[in-house]
Amino acid sequence: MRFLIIVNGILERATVYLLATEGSLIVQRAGLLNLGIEGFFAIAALVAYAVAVYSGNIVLAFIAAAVSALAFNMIFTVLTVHLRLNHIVSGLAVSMLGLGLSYSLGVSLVGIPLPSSISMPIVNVLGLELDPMILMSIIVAVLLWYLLYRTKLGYQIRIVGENPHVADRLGVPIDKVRYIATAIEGVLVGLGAAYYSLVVIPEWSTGVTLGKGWLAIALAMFSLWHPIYAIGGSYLIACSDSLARVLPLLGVPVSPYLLYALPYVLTIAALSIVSYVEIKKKRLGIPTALAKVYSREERARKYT
Amino acid sequence: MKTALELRGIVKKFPHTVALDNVDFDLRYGEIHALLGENGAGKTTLVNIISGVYSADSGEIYLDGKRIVISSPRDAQKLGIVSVSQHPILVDSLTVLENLALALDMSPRDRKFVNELRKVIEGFGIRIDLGKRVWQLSASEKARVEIVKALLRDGKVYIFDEPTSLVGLKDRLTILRVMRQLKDSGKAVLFITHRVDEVFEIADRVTVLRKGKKILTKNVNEVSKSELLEAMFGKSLTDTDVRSMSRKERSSRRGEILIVDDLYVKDDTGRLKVKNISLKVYEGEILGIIGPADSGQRELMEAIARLRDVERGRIVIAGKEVTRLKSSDVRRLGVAYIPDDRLSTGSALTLSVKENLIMRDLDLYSTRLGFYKYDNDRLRSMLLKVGLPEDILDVPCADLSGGMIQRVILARELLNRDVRLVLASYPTQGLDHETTKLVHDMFILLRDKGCSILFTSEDLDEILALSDRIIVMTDGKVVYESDRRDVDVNELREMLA
Amino acid sequence: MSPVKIVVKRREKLSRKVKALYTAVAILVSFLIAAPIVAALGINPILFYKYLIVGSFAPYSIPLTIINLIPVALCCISAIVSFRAGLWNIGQDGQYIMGAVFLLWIASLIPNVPPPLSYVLVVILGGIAGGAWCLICGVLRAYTEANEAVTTLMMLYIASSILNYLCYGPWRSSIGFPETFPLPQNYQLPNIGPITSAIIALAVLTFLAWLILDRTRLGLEMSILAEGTRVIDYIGLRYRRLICIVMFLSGFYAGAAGSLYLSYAAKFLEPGFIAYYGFSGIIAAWLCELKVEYSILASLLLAALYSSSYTMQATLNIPSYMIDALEGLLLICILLVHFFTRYRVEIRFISSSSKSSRK
Repeated sequence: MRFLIIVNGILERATVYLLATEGSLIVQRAGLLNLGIEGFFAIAALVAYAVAVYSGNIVLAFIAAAVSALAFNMIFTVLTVHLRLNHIVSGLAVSMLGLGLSYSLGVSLVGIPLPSSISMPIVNVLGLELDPMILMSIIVAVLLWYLLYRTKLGYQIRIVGENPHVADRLGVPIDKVRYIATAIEGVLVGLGAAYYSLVVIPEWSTGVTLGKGWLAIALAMFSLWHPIYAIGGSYLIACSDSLARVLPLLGVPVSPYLLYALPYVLTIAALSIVSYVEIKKKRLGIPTALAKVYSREERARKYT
Repeated sequence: MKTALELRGIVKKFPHTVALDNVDFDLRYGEIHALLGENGAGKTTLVNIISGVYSADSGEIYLDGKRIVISSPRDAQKLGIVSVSQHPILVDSLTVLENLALALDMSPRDRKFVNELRKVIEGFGIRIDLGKRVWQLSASEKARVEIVKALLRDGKVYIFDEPTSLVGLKDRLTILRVMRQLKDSGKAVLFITHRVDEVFEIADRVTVLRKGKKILTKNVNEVSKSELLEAMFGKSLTDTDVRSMSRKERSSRRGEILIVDDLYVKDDTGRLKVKNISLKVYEGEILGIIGPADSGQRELMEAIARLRDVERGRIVIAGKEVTRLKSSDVRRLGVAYIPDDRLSTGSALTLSVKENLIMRDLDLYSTRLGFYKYDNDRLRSMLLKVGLPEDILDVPCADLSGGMIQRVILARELLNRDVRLVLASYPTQGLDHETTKLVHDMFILLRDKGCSILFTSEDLDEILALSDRIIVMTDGKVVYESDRRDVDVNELREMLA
Repeated sequence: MSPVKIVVKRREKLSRKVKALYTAVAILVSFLIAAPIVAALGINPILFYKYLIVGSFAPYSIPLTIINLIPVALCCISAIVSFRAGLWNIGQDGQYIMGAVFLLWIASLIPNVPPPLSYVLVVILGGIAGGAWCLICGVLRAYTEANEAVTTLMMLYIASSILNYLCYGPWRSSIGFPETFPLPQNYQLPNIGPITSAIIALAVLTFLAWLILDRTRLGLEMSILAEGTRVIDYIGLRYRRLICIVMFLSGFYAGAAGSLYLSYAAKFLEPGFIAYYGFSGIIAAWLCELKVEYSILASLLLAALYSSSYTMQATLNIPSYMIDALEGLLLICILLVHFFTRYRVEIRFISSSSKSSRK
C-alpha cells in the first residue's frame, strides 16, 4: 500500500515536470533560452490556487493558470524577439518580477485551504490513482513530437533554433514562430503549475514553487530537446524528488535537507554527461542558436 | 517593355561607410539587367535591400508602379521577388526536399506537393537527389538546389547574386541557360557580377556602381568593354594593367622556411580534406596555391597556422617541428596568418580596433606582471601604413567595412613584429580594388625583404602575377607544381576549367 | 501590405549624458509602475514612496544601506567578470552561501588567529570557497559544454540545501531556532563609527577587479573569450583554462560577499541567510553596463531598495517579496533603456496611392 502511494507521488510530480519540460523544450527548439519560466510558473501556480479558492471550479482554475502564464510569458517574448535583448538577463527579470508578485500577492492565501470541490476525477488502475492530467502530459509529449517532426510549423521551429539567418532568408516568419513557441510554453507550464499547486501540494505557502521552472530548462536540455526523451527525464527527476520524502519515512538515516539537493545534483550530472556525449559532437539538428539574439542587419554585438 | 522594379534615391549607411549613395535603378520585364561593380561597390547591399535583408535609410521602391516597403525576406518573396544567392541559403541538417518545401512554405510531408515537385524538377532537366541532406552535398550541388529553389517560386523579379562565381563550368552554363529561359518567359532578371565579360555574354542592359554611387546605365550593345572598366574603376585601365607587378629575378635557392611532409587534415565535419600533401616554401619566395573551391586549401592553411589538428604528417617551420604546437607558438616564430574568414576568425568584432591590433601579440604589449600597455603612437602609425584613418583606434571592428577589417588584420599580422613567413588564405577575396592592391604591394615588399609567402587564391591572374612558384590543388592533393617561369598558362587554364 | 511599417534601426552612439538621463527615467518609470501593484496589496502608494526614500537614505538608514551595499556590489562585480567573458554565472547566491559556510567552518577550527590576519582570511577563505563552487560549473562548461547558466542555478539550490542541512543538523546550536554557532570573535569585522569596516574590503576588491579587467592581459583575454572559439584558436589562447579562470574569479567575488556578510552583519548562519543579493548584483551589473568603475553606484540603488524593504515590512507590513517584484520591474526598464539607446524606432506611413510608371 505504501508502495502505491509512493508511485502515485512520483506520477504526480513527474506530470508537473513533464508539462514544464515540454514547454521549455519547445521554446528552446526555437532558439530562446527562457529563464523567465521560474517566474510565470510561480504566477500560474498562484492564479490557479486563487481561482480555485474563490470559484471552487477546478477547470476554471486550470484555464486561468494557462492564460496568466501565457500572458506573463509575453513580456519575455517582447524583450527578446522584438527588442533583441539578452535572453538570460531578460529571463531573470521576468523571473524576479513573477516570483516577487506571486509571493507578495499570495501572502493572503497562506493557510487558506482549497475548497472540497477541487478534486480530480480519478481512475483506479491496479491500485494506482490516475487522473486525466497524468495521461494528458504523456499525450502532450507525443503531440509535441508530432508537431516538431511531422508538421510545417515543427520544421520552422527547428530551423529557427538551428540557424535563424538561413530561416529568415528562406522566408520563415521568425518572430511569429517564436511567438507561437512561447505561447505553447506558457500554456503548458501554466497547466503544470496549476497541477502542482492544486493537486501535488494542495496548499499555498510562500516559496512553494522555488526551482521547479529552472529545473525544467535543464531537463529539456539533457533530454536533447526531444519530446519523447523528456518523458524519461521527467520521471527520473520525479523519482529522485520522491526519494527525499520516502527515505526518512523508511528509517534511512539521511538528512532530508541534503536529499532535497538530489534532483539538482542528478540534473547537473545528467546534463554534463549528455552534453559531453552528444552535443559536443556538433551534432546537427539541435538548437545551436540557443540564447543568441537574432538581429537581421547586425554582424556582432557586445555582451549578447 | 514595362518597368517591373524601380528604385529611387536609395541611401544606405553603415556606421563608418556609405554603402549606397542616392542610387536610382530600374528593371524591366523581359530583360536581363547586369549590375556591375567591383567588390565593395555596393552591389550586394543593393540586392539585400531589394530582397528584404536590409532596409534602406531613405529612398523609395516601386513594383509595377506601386510604392512598396520590403521589411523582411518574407515580404520580398510575397511580392514575387526571388533571389538566388552566391552562398546557397540552405539548412544543413535537413534534406534537399525539406529545404525546398520550407522555402515554398509547404510541408515536406505533403505527398501531393512532393510529387509535383519531382515533376517540375525533372522538367527543368536539373539532377538533384531530393533525399540527401544538405551537409552531404558538394558546392555545385548546393548551387543547383539554390537554382531549383528559385525556379519553383513563381516570381516576377529574379535576382542572381554572382551565381557563377563558385561553380564549375557545366553548372555555370546551366545557370546562364536558366536566366535566358526566365527572360524569354517575360520575367525581369537582375544579374549581379564583377566580371565584365559576363555582361557581354548575357545581359541586355548594364548598370555600373562604384563606391556606392551609380555611374551609368546603358544598353549592352551601345557600350564598350573599356568604357565599362573605366566606369568600374574610375580611371582608364585595362585588365592587365591592374596586375602589372615588378618581379625581381630570384637569385639561387635559399634555405627552406616551411616544410610540410605527408600531411593529412580533416575538416569540421570529420571528412579528410588534405590528403598526403608535401611541399616546401623557400626563403624570399611567393608560393601560390590555386585549385577548385573547397579542395582543402583552407584546411591546409589552418593546419600550418596551427588552428587545426593534424591527422598525420609533419610541419616544420624555420627548422622547428610545429606539428603539435599552438598558433601563438608559431606566431612567435615569426609567422603571420591572414585567414579567409575575416569576420569570425580574423577579428574580434565587438572589440575595438586597438584591441584587435594587439590581440595576437599580447607578449609584445604586456609587462611581466601581466599589465598591458598600449603604444598608441605606434598603433596609429600602423594604421596609417595600411591606409586607415588614425582616429579609429577605439571604434569596434563590427562598425568597419570588410575592406577596412582586412586592413586592420594586415596591420596586425605584418607590422607588429618581424615576419618570416606569411600564410594568407584568399587574402583578396571580396575586396575592393584599392585594398587588393595594398595586399599585393605589401606581399611584394615583404618578399623583396626576404620574407616568404604562401597564399591561396581562386583568381588565376592574381596567382600568375604574384607567385614565384605555383601549386595546383584538387581534392586535397597537389596535382601540379612548377616555377612561374616554366608555367604554360594555357595548360594551367585547362587544368582548372 | 499594411500602410504602416515599424522599422527598427541601429543608432549612432549616444553621449554619456543622454544615456544617464535615459537610465534615470527608467528607474523612475519602474517605480511608477509599482504604484498599482502596491495599491493592489491595499497600501497607499504615497506612503510606499515615502518609505522607499526614508528607509534607505535617511541618516539613520544609511548604515543599513551600506550593510546591504557590500554584498550587492561584490555580487555585481562577480556578474560583470563572467558576463564580460560571455559566460553566464547567475548562481551568485549559491557561491555566497558556500563562502560563508566555509569561513564558519575554518574559523571554528582555528578561532584564535589574531585580528588583522583573520580579517584577511575572511575575504580569502570565502572567496576560495565561492570560487571553487563556481569552478565546478566552469570545469563542466569547459570540458563537457554543459550550459553554465543552468548549472550555476542548480548549484544555487544545492548550496541552499547544504545551508539548511547545517542549520537544522550538525551545526545547530540552540534548541529553538535553526541557527548555527556564531563566528569566532576574532573573525568579526569591527565597525568604524556607525559604518562597518568591511567597506574597506569592498573598496580594495573593487579596485582589484577594475585593475584585472581593464588593465591586464588577462582582462583582455577574457573579453576575447566572449568572441567565440575560432578567434580564441587563432590567437592561441587556452580556451578551457580561461573559462576556468573566469568562473573562479567570478565565484571568488560572490563567495567573498558571503563571508564578509557573515563576518560583519550576520555573525551566524540560519536558513534565511540567503538574501538573494546575487540577483540584485546581476541587476546592478546591467545597470552599470558591466563597467566596474560604476558598479558601486549602481549597487547603491539596489542596496537602498533592500534597506527600505526592511522599513516597509516593519511599518507598512508590505511583504519583502514586493521588493523582488520591484527589482524585476527595474531590470525590465533597464533592459528597455538598452534597447532605446541602441536602436531608433521609426514608424513609416506608406501612401497607398499608386504612381504611374514612366514607361
